[in-house]
Amino acid sequence: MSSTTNHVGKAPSRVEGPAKVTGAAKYSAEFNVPDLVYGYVVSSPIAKGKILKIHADKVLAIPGVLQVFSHENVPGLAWFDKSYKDDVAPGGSPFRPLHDDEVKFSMQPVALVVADTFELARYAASILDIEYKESTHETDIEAKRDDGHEPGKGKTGYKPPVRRGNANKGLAKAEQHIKQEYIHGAQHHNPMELFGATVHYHPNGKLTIYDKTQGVYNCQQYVTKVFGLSKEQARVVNLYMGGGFGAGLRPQYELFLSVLAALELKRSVRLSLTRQQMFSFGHRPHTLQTVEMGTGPDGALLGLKHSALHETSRFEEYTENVVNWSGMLYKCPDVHLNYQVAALDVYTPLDMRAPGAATGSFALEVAMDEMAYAAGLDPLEFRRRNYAEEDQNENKPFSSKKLREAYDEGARRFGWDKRPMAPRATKEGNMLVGWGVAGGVWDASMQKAAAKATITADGKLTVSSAAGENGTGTYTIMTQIAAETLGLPMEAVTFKLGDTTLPEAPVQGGSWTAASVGSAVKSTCEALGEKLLKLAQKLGDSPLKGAKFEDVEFVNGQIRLRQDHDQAVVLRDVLQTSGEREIEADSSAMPNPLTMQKYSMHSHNVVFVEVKVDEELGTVHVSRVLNVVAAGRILNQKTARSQVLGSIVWGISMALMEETVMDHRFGRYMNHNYAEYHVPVNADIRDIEVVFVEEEDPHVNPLGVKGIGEVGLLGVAAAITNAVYHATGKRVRQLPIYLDKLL
Amino acid sequence: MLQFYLNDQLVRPTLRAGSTLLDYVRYHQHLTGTKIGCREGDCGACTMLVGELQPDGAVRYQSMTSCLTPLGNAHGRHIVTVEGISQPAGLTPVQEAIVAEGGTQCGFCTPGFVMSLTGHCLGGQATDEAGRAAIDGNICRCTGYKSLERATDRLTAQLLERDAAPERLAWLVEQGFVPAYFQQMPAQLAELRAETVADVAARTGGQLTEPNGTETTVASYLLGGGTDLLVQRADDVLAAEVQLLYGHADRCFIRETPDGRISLGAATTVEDLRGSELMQRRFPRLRQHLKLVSSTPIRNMATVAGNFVNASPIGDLTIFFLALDAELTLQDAAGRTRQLPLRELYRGYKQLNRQPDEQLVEISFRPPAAHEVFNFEKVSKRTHLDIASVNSAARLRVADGRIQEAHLSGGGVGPTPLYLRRTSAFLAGKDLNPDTLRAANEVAQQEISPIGDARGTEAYKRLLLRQLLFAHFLEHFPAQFALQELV
Ligand SMILES: Cc1cc2nc3c(=O)[nH]c(=O)nc-3n(C[C@H](O)[C@H](O)[C@H](O)COP(=O)(O)OP(=O)(O)OC[C@H]3O[C@@H](n4cnc5c(N)ncnc54)[C@H](O)[C@@H]3O)c2cc1C
Ligand code: FES
Ligand code: FES
Repeated sequence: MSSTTNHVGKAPSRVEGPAKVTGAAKYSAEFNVPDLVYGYVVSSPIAKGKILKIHADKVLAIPGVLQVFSHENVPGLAWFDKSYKDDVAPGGSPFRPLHDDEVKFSMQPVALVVADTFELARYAASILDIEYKESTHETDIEAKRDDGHEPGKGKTGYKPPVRRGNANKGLAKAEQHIKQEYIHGAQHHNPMELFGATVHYHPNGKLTIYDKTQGVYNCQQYVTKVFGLSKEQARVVNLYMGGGFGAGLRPQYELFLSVLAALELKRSVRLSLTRQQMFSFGHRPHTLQTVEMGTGPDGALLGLKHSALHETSRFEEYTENVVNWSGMLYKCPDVHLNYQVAALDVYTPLDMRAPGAATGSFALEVAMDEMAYAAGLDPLEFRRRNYAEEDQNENKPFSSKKLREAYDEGARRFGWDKRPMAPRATKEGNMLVGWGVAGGVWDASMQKAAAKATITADGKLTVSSAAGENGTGTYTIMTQIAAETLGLPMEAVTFKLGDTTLPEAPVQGGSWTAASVGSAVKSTCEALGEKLLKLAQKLGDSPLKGAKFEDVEFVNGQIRLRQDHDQAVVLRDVLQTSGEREIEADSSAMPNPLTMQKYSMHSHNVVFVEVKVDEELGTVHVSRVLNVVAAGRILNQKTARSQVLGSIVWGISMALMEETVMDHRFGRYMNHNYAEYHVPVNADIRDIEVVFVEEEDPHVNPLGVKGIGEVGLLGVAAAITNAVYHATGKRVRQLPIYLDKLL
Repeated sequence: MLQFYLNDQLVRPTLRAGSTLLDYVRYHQHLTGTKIGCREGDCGACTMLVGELQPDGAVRYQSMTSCLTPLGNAHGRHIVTVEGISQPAGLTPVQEAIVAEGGTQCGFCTPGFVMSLTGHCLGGQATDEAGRAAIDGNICRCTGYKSLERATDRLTAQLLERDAAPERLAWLVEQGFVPAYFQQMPAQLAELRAETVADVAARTGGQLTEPNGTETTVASYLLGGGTDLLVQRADDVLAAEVQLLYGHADRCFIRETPDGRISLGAATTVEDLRGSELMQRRFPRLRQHLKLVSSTPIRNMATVAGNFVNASPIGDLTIFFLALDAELTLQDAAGRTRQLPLRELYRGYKQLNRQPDEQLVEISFRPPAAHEVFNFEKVSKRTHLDIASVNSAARLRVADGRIQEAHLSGGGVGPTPLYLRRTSAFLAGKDLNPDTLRAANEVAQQEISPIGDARGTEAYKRLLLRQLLFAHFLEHFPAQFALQELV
């Protein structure tokens, strides 16, 4: 009989879907614990200066207001910076909420009002009078063009740019040559769910902290170090996260403030930020980039220079890999990459979906288009001619790379061969039509992760690991992996996550959850499988006697010999006759240092775009997007597709709408709300399509997966920009492409 | 007393009428299926259905963003949250379609989409377009738009069956779209109405505020749909006394008067205006025009008077009615009324020729006659949930190649919504040809004074106004013009 339990690679619907569509899924600010009080954060209206006085008396006199927390009354907490450093903190000295009288950025939390009801807390916060002394701030990266510096060690995952050969010499040999500057403003993650926390204060002084985070362990270690609590005293839980995109990688200030209030008041506290406050704790940095490249007679890249400068805060040195991709996406002998940051009076930027790559590949891929035109080559053909067979940054072969296949597949489906080279060549009614192409490369990484599995006598399997579910499909794919590994139907499996009482998993980021937690789940279920095999072999005249673990497979609720499927035992019989109520196993998985040394592991994509431009009104419609992705094995077609469809919309948004605009007079973001920080609505999105090319990768990790949450964003904005050029002949080098730029 | 049905329960909140429905449901009823994404009407995560008894005895359900719905506006109605449609027996067809099509990711926008689509199934047309329009006010940041669109389209076939069924609501209940208690609602609301109609005070505020509240009443507000006031001054409104106008029978009507004019109650909502057969007869493209105004839930709430009085320089309805030379009836606290042309309402940026106690009660205008044409244009950065960069309306009478009369308005090009007096006068009596339009643009450019902001530079707005001015003529006289010859 063929298998009915091979779930991996299929397209099952989300296992937690019903909880989400009925509103039963509980997000952090929704746990109804008894005797809750409510906090409301007061944010600084100034960007830099000192708090002179907090006039809390009037507010405290309102019946029902419990406390106004500020630096004036916050108790002594952990002293050293290192206590405030979380797992993914950049270098420097982390911001400590309510620490002293200094204001370091606009919208800095300066006080927390706690009251009996939400409405009262909000009202009290609105009338809290605070005196400030303002000093002059600097918030404009444009004024810091000459003040950048190369960052120090950077945060986890940061690689200082490498150089090879001599780019100047390479460029000197070039026949065609381009050099341009590319700019995009700050962007904010803006997940739908506002950051918030509910801290349940138990009578024994222990806390259960429901926090909006992409990493419960990261938050637990932060809270325990800062407040001097033991791990038992601070359990952190996040069962559902209403979107993160990186915003929840680091512990945010709602966590600090709600725990502070709960400990001080010995009460359960809920705290939720406002949409405005969602613009106060990290963003994709405003970045200025220059790309220079040159080609020889056959269109080969002879030299490439890419430099980037972006903002960071005064207190931390945020880093992301912006320019490195330019050293590996195309073959080029002489490459010079340069990366700098400059400190401003803003909050520290924060990883946002495909950090660095979304930025760097925009510049690189628009430059590639410009270069193709300068060299008189079709932009896709130009990319093919410079295809990188190996990772020249690291001098290593790729563990797998099916980008060429992606080019072929995409070009065929899109009909790329019908594209006229010249701009402004196609019109439809009063619309100019243009086609553009671009792509990207992203890390396929893995982190250490642990899991636990328990199977009970009734054949129900529970697997757990403290991973996160922020929309990516963790519940579902882990259920698929576990069920398939032990040959069970998905309904027999429950996956639990997001709780520090479960085995440790890394923060949910870097597209590594599928690989890391998935591998841990697989190895844990295998460990459980070995135990089950032993029990099966103890059965009277077991057909599996003498079989090794490698000789058997778990399929359709049975353990059977690979060579002879009729030699099988029913799993449930094994459990029931064993007399055990439940059987448990735990295990973990971590990256293999040997393969890491040998191979460069990356996912790739290429995006084809059609735009229609109404030149009379300057409006751009993205009428067609095809995103072809090579990202190893796809665990769930449905959830993976959703990730890439989402990325495409993000790319359209980045190209045409998204930008947080700073009013430098006040050092404050002007459009800090959903009304003015535009993301598309459904009606803005036309035909978008996702294709995964087959990419088997025996090296990357036991599952052969590379992660899918970020790579799909790459190339989208650049392809749109390139298509706009093709439609109109106008080259836009600053995002977003506002209507005015086309007139 | 404030009372309404929340799902299957009759509730009588003692909160103030100006507090929000969302906070009542989440913080006082502890129903957390309804989400909060912005508290400003911009995301749809908080979407609820609001059912109102119709003269024919049926209940009409409309989607609203509960973050901007004053609690008082729930009075006498049926409020439905996601908990109120979910059933232990299994998912509703809407929920089922969303799960099956992968339309939920992080899930935070999902209950909002579920409610919008449930509203569509209760009362919408059985077409894909109508389904998609029903979710125009829901943002999904994750973003599952295409999957949600497939889920929406899936429902269309079922809705055709609905339309064939003898009894719509019974069919919807039978198919599991809504629980059985929905069938009791018409009778229950009718019963409630008997009480609430007598309870006029509840409709006009006053008594809804706690009599011995500890806070002093800081102000008194006239409250329509709340879509402006609750964004601008939620805290003030919460503490204030409010006079509720939304759905007030004396303020909600659209009728033809004997002199051939049309008269609107000031609290007529944008969606009611859009759905009015009378209006559609007089403005054949009305549905298209008003579709561009924000989003379905906001249009279900927003009143015409609210749009005029909030005095935004780009208010869509203001621009629409300026070109129609609408006449307003204002009534002061003592009940004295006076007439004022809409054109004369605006004095300066957000400044009105109106006393604070004066209420707008009625709007009257002469609809376009058979030989006249009307057009409305709006350019914004995104299709929905966006106010205009520039908008413009025109009413034109053209005969024998000559413009007999013209009335043009423009928004986003000055401190107030503008009636383009000089441009209109210039056009009257001129031949309809490219030269005339080019010259009219010259006049218009002198009449406007746009400033650069997030919606575009000054130059861009000037250009847009020119394009929109031309667009009015291109729309109605395509044979006479091509844009190329105008620019
Ligand atoms: C998400 C969102 C999108 C929007 N998009 C658009 C858009 O695309 N186009 C657009 O034009 N507007 C838009 N708006 C603005 C707003 O919805 C409209 O202006 C709406 O018509 C206001 O009506 P309301 O009944 O909700 O006003 P309310 O908030 O109830 O009242 C607004 C003001 O009018 C006063 N008022 C209300 N009724 C009366 C009366 N009868 N007499 C005297 N004063 C009265 C109130 O006291 C208040 O000062 C949007 C708003 C939101 C939140
Ligand atoms: S919370 Fe966003 S529309 Fe209400
Ligand atoms: S599913 Fe996350 S916002 Fe829509």
